[in-house]
Amino acid sequence: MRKWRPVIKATVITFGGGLLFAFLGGIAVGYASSSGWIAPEMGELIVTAVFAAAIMAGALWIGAEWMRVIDEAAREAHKAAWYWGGTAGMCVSGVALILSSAGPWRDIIAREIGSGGSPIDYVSAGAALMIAPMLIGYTVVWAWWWLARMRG
Amino acid sequence: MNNRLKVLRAERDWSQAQLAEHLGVSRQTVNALETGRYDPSLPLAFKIARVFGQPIESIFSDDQA
Repeated sequence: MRKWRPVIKATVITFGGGLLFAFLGGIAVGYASSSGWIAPEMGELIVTAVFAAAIMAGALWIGAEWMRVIDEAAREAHKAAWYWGGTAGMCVSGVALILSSAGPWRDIIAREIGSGGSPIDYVSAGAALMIAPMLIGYTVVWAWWWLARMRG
Repeated sequence: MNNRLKVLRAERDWSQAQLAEHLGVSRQTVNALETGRYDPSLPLAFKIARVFGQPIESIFSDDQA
């Protein structure tokens, strides 16, 4: 249990600090916007952006501490999963990128998808389409690597 | 890669969990090493050699040699 302390510490600081920042930031934005110093939406955007960046940086920190704690076989599983699963996921995303980038088929796909939504929806969908196949590939390869070597 | 981990462990009457504790790895890793499904890094191979008090080449052998 003692060896997990750095991971627990990083997790508590990341999520505890993040929640505290969001709470205090919300109060500050409420005060600043009611005093007319800043538009409420702009204040919320700043607090949310800082919160998101801090949580992601904290997630990297937690991951670094966790990688130091696990043994070398577990690390190898994640390296293999990242390379093969992540690469395979990127290949899936690559097909979507090629089809949506150029050529007459682009219009056909656009018609099939339909209209509606705003540009920010497309940004969100694009980010999700980039991350999801990589995460799925990562999970599949990690499970295959682990079960192939660690059963028994 | 072949190895004599299981034999050496049995000689000391250690469980996989006990050997794992000596090596600072998980029991699953010891099992994967013994069954030849995972080849250790050089630092881990040296650690195994230290724990058993034997040279690396007497514990591990190259099955393609």
